[in-house]
Parts: sequence; C-alpha cells; structure tokens
Amino acid sequence: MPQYGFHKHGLVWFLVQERTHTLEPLTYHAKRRKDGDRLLVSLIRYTYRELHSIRLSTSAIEVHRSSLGRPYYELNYPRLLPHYDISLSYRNDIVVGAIAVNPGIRLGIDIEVVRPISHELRSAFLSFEEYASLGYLMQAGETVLAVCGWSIKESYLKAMGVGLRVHPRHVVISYNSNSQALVVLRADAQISPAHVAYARIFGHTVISAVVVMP
Amino acid sequence: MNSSESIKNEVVGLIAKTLHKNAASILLSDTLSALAEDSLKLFELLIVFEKYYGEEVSYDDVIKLETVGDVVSYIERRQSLQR
Repeated sequence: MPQYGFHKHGLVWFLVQERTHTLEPLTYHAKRRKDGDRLLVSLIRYTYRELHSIRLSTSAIEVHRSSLGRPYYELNYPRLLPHYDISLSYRNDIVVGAIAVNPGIRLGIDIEVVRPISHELRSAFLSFEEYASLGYLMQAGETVLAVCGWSIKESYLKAMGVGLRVHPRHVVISYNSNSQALVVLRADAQISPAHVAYARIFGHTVISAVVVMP
Repeated sequence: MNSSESIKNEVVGLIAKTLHKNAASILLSDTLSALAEDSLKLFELLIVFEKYYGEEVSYDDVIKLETVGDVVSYIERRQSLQR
C-alpha cells in the first residue's frame, strides 16, 4: 500500500491519496474523475505555493482533459505564471497525481497492482533485454518486474499523450550504465531525447513515472 | 446463424473469456475501456483479438475502436474485404 502525502522525487512531485467515495450518485468513472481532479488541484496549489510563494484558490485552477484523456490545467490568475505538466493514475481505491516541477518537462505517471501476467501477454510488450534492464535496478521477482515494465511503458505513452494508440512494444526500456537509470525510448525515434523512468514498489502496488526532457 | 451474428458471438465470447465477464451482460454499446477497467486488461484483449483473427485485424486499427459493436463491424468489414 502506498504511503499517502507528498513525495519529492527528482524532477517530479507526487501526491498519493485514497479515494474519497463521497460522490455516490455519480457513475464510477465520474467519481474517479472528481477524485482525480481534486487531487490535481491540491498538487498544483502546493507547487505554486512552494515554488512561487503564491496561494491559489481552488477556483483559480481549472482541470481539463484532452481528447485522449490527458489532464491539463488553466489558471485564472492576474499574472502570467510558469506552467507545469501534470499526470494522473487510478487503481482500485488509490489515486496518484504527479507534477513535473520544471517548465517544459513532460511526464506520465501510472499505478498498477501487482498481479500475475501470463508469459504470452508479457512477451507481447516486454522483451528479454528490457526485462534484464529492469532487473539491473530492482531486486524483485518476475511478476513484479513485468508489472514495472508495463507501468513504465504506460507512463511513457501517457507523457507523450498517445496512450495505447502506440503499441507498447514500440517503446523500449533500457538501462543506462552512465547515469545508472532506466531510460525509455520510442523504438523508431531518430533522435533520442532523455526519458528517465522512476519506479517504486509499495507492497502489491507499483508506481512509476517517466520524465521527458525538452 | 448469419455471419454478423456469428462474429458478434465470437467477439463477445472472446471478451467474456479474457475479462472474466458474463457474456450475457456484454452489450454492443459497451466500451472496451469500461469493460476492461484498466489498460493492461485492455491491451490483453487487443492481443487476444489479434491472435484469434490473425491478419484480419491490426492492433493499430482496433485500438481506435470504442465499443463492442465497433469491433464487430470492423471484423465484418475486414472479412468481407478478404473474400
């Protein structure tokens, strides 16, 4: 089970919360969305307070979704302020949000519950080399590594704003021995910008994030 | 049973088996993402479609379809093109 509250991790700040279940008349998806929006607003307010000493009211922040469901926000504030990329993920009763605390950085975040993945399904999105790369950094069993691999790829696809419209096998996870970090790339990319992946395992839950540098 | 009904039964059967749902509860208007509930299950479903129908379906096409009915119509079209 993830801990709740803020986690500052390099270029990304996370906020993990239990969902509130206070919106009974709404559908499951609408409830998830309300919970997610509420969490993102908290994260955005916290970020502007910490980085700019500005106290935004909740009504000053409007969270929207792109046609593919990617969240973004607009500020109703009299001064022009830097904008930060945000991302959101849900699993069961947990919602996790993240904000990239440098303008221009794109990010995607994902939360997954560790569960068995058949060999056939695993091989459809994760190669043996990628599996080995994950094993460099994480001391974990096969199932957890496979879930981490999936979660990192999904985070990357969310950061790029395309979701599963790009087949996850076109996204490659590798281990960079210089930076001792996992990097994620589009297999067909001509130029390889730095895409750094983070993954943390909390019991039966994996939270991952991918940061795409400008 | 006509071809359309047969494809519908196949598609609903594959969804029910992959996502552990009752086939009778799956409607043509149901969205794949709502039935799958999470992205890994949705991906698994797409892989099952690919494997079952072979060259008749492509991942890049199916991921753009929203509902069960869209998948049935797509497979009907692809099969009629190949005849």
